[in-house]
Amino acid sequence: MRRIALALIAALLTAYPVSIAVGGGEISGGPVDSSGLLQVPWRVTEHRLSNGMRALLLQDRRAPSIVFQVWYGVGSRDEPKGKTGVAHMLEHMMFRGTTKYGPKEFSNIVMRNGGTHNAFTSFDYTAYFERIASDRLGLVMGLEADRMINLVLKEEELAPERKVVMEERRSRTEDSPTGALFEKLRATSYTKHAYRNPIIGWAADIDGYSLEDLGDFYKRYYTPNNATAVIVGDFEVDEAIRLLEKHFGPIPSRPFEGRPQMTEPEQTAPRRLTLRKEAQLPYVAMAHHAPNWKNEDGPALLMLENILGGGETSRLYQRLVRKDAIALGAGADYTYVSLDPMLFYLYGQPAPGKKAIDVEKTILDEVNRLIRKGVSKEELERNLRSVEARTIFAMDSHFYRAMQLGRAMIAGDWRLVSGYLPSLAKVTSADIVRVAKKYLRSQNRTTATLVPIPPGEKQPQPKNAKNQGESR
Amino acid sequence: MNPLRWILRAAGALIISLAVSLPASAAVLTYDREELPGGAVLLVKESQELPIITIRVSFPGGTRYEPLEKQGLANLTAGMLVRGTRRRSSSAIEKLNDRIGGGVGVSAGRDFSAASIRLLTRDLERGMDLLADVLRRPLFPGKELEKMKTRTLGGLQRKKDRPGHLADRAFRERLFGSHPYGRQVEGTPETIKKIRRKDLVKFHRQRYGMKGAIFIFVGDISLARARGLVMGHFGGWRSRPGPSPVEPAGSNEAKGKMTIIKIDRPFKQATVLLGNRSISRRHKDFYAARVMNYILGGGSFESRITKNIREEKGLVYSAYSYFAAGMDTGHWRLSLQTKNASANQAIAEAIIEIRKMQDEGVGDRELSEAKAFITGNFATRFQSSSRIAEYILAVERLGFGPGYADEYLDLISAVTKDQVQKAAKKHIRLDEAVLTVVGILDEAKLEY
Repeated sequence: MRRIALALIAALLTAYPVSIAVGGGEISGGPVDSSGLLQVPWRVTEHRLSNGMRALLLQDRRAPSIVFQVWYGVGSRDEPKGKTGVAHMLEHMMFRGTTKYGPKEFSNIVMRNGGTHNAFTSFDYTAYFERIASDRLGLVMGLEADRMINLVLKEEELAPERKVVMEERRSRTEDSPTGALFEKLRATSYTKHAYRNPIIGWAADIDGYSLEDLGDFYKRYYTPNNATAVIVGDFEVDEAIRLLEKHFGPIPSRPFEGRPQMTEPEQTAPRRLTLRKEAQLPYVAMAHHAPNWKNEDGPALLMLENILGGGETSRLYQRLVRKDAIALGAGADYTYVSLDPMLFYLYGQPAPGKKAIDVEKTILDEVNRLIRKGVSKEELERNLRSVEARTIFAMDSHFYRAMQLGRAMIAGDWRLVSGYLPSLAKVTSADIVRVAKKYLRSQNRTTATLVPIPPGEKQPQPKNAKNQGESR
Repeated sequence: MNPLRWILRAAGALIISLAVSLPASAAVLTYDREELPGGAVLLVKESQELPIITIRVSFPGGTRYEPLEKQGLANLTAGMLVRGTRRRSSSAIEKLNDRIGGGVGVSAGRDFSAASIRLLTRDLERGMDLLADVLRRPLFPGKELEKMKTRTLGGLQRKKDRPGHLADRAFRERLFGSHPYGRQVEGTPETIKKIRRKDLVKFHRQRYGMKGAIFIFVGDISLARARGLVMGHFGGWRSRPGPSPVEPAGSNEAKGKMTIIKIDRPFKQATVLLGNRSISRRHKDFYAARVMNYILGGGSFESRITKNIREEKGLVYSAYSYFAAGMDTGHWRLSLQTKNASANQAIAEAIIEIRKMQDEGVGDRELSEAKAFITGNFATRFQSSSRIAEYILAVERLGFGPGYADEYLDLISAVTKDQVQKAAKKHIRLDEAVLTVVGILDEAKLEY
């Protein structure tokens, strides 16, 4: 649905057991590189407007339509203290009118032209998109350019939207046991870095934003020199550049002081939290601080993620779900493409009658086995082939291609979408063992356990449940 | 679709001038269709832009063919196909799946079951070999079956955390009873426990084979190559269909008043489902109903229900309605979530919008904008191979031909205001509706 807090969804790891690995390195021109890996080049045209706005254009003529996205270098990580969720709230308000169009016009114009639209906010970015017939590219550019500078914020529009966001929070977090668990896990893993805050914001903060808060945030971050347009689909590159210049070119760039810099102090001792909540089954998740593409350990961490938790042949799935049959699901999740280092998760959901502690112990037993015995050539090769195929499959959808480009651009370089296979091919068993030892150690770990209060007709009021087990 | 014809027709129906959207060319959805020996159909949409081939194989193997006392059999049969064959162990299949980037998966729905696989062009031969192996020569090992039953039971338990699932289960059951549309695909704990290996063997023998199979290839492959592969791997494959136990969908009881189902669970939001039994996908009114529903609750931010209860009143994050139009029957539903204390208000506003649609119909502008969206948006949806494959499959299953895209756009364009209002009166029936609410009933204090 609409105005998605994307990473909130991604955090429900059970639904997304495999994150498509996206890597760094140089883009390869040829179809097969020296390591014998198949690479299909991304034929991206880069364009930069004189006001500093960037554009990435990628033709794909399989369907007579385009995906147009505008990415802003702002997300929940950039929010001022006490204003968590303001990036997401602003994203909602971007649909509620400008000096040129009334509060309901944006949607009406796009949809009566056969287009769909939406937006999403994450830790590092906010992005807006339209999917529409190719000949309407200029139309949606005009609309996006308009709301980049002409947004009108009014109390009568904010009041209902604030309630909408509270409902969104109830759906995603408060009525979702795993949603709530991962929210707490992040808040405990990070002590300083703003990744500790939920993208949607803490409920008390959502209640408190003023129009000024939103306006300040908008003025600071919504400027062409902090934006990237991404176009994927059936269009002419020259014509699209002409349209970009026409619609976005006249927008003046503003002095942009850049995004806040922040670091998370090294974790030196294990942390643990318990969430007691109405749920059918327990859940256990462990988070470890891990570097991203900017660090040379990145490729080995990607391989480690895949070997431990990438799908049904992964070690965690094979051991916990297939062999021991103590879990309904188990896996790993690591983020390679991000602005700042994120978390390497290991997780599992106990099967009915099985204990969270046994799932936790077995996950760690698999980590230790990997550290003790390493990875065979066959397993490395198989995982590499799997990533290779999935990387090419990830080029199939227009929307997903645009997503990958935007996300990589925000993280630092759009070329992160491709060309990482050669660096993965160089990863050895010793590298994987080394990064497993270095990052999956207990001092660097926060463990979160969901302890279910069985739902029954006569359960304690959920009002109170929210605060139970708080360990922050 | 002839755009000129469309413009003329739209212009005839319109008086006010609007940014009338031309439908993006439906040519993207032309494909080759061929009937194969043995009663199967082959559908191919070739495109060489990427070295990828997306394959679906559909069978008449949905839950409608399973005995009532063995609900879940179709689902288990589909899942167990990849758990070992005469040539490959379960673990060998998993490893090969991994190597080719995901591999083959099989799942069952209410009407059909389907295998899907996505392959790099270079893996086409071994991918087809694997596909044929799991579909034709499964062993259904007893030990694997026990594990899968346990996991299915666990999955059913886990789903109870989702208010939407609890509401859907009760709602379907009340609307359709023991008809397949009223049951859960996974079955129930009681029926799953009764399923034995011999049941899977029999179900597979009856429901999987060339007769009734639909093979779909999208991507880097020609019709001739696809035909050669299918005949080479699947030629001569026979099924032995037995009697079909499907129940006719009986009529609704309790006419004249809404049925209310209240489920007390400690969620912060009340999950509301309101709907009634309605038309099948092949019903002639489907197109008018589709346009009507877009305006009422299906057109995301443009729908009346979203404008009212989300944009103006802020009661929900999401509220939408749709016709779940199936093969031989269907239903209409409205779904929303709101904090428990707002449940009455949200339901009341939704009902006001439904009644207004039935009593007053729609305006010219609304109608033309709805048609402009549905026709203009149509071809833009097919931006990935899997979306194209799903579309082609749906068209074939419904018995429409490769020219259906044009037909669909024409039929939508021809819908009149009068038809829209009639569709609202006839196919949304508050007097036979089921209203399901899951939430904290003490807080919701439902007036229904």
